[in-house]
Amino acid sequence: MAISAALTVTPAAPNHGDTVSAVYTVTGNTGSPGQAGTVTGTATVGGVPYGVSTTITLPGTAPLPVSYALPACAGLTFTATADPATFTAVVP
Amino acid sequence: MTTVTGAVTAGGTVYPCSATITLPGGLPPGVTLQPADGGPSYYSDHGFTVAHAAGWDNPSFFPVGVWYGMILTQADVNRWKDLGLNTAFRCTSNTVMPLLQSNGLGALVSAYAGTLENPGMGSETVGLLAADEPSSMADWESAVQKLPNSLQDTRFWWVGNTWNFVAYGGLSPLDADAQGSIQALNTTVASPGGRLRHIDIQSMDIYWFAEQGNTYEGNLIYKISNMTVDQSMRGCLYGDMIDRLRAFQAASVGGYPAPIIGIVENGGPLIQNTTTASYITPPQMNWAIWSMIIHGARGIEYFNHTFGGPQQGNDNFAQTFYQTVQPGQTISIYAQAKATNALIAQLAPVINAPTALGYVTTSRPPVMFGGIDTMAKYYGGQFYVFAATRESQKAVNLATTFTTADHYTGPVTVTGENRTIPAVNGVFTDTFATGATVHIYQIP
Repeated sequence: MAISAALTVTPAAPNHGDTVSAVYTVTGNTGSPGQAGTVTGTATVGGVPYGVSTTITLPGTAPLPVSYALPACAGLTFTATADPATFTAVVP
Repeated sequence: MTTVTGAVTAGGTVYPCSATITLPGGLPPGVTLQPADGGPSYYSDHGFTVAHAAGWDNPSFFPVGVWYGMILTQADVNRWKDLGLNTAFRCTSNTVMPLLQSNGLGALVSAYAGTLENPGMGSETVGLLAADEPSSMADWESAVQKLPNSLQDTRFWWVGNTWNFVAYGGLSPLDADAQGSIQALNTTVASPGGRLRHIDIQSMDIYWFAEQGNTYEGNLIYKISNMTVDQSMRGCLYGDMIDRLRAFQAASVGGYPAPIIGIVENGGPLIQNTTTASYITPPQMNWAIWSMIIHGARGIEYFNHTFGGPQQGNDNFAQTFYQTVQPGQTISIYAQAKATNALIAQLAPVINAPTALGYVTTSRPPVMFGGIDTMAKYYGGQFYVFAATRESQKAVNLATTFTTADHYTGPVTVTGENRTIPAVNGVFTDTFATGATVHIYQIP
């Protein structure tokens, strides 16, 4: 699944002195689950080929590591919070 | 409309993103906003997670309570709820702490010398009293040094000082001017686990009205020599104490700015209050409370005890006398506290909002013993002006002109008085019926 990112700022129309929050949301960064696969081969015994196969589970992939940039906006100074995807700024 | 830009990096790939925001127009020229003492998220900012979880960072919350509260039954809780009290600034040892917790009331528990007065405390206990009226720094330091970190690390430390903390500049060892108080509040000491702590929240008790003429202490505090009895009995003096305490915690002196709790009596707390006529009156109490808020108090504590005269007790609000309108009054102490607390609760988001410096002036600029104290707040796109006098309580009909920086023309709502007054080009006039009158204006 394709990865996409979005930024939401609330409140959208703050007043002086209000604290606005900028929150990142990332979708699609789910990694992939393990997948079953079949390995086939042939064993020849006395000139006679014998088809053989077995199944294996290929490993999945973990979600990619994510980092979030400090949002930028003229007139606002964002600072980090305990949630790495959330930043806040006080409207001067 | 303004754009906020940002980016997410996932697995080395950068994903730009943005959002839009509509920022407000500029403030009137000359007006700047200053956060309330400690800022809007003081408790979470400083790791006081119990207070934060209890809502102390909620802008709609304003702590109002009593000193040494005693909650034994649900009836006690119900009385507090009726009064609009939400905090016990210290609890008697027999207080049933689960009753506080189950009813959403908060507590500050004494941990003097490292021993909890209420060992059954839980999530209702947002802060700890290091010492009440300490005579030396060692009094509060021992609490910090001895109380286990598991009990103190997520709670703020509070100390309640006496008038000489302001008058003489601090606890022993005394230094010149304010250095002793600055040192007392801002010295760090090691908790048992080594974490350094200092006093976070402070308060100071002086009962100007019940003192009935405390010119001795008044002269020392104000550094004058001729204070009159009349001057020593004004609500503005309570507010002035908030300013004095704040100076000891200012960042400019190496302090740790924080909310300050204001204290007011609701009866006769002194042994010299031998008659009920010497007790504080409802208008005086209301005046003192709003003065403290105008000067920046972020909590109100009633001294709910009377130690002199015929109506002594340790829970004034529960006594018939204080629930009864007394001769010469139009409201009881109980009803006045209930009304004042309700207005505080209604305006809590405004009181907790930034102060709008430079927004308002009056025709009666404040001086030591005269004029009008004002506090302008900016909340929800509107300005609010809180105003109380510094005049004699005997003064009457104080016509006052207000001038606001926004040049507003239109009706100004007088909060809680069911009336409006007209403003033209930022100028409106109102009258303070007595020295104890308080007005709160809402300017759209």
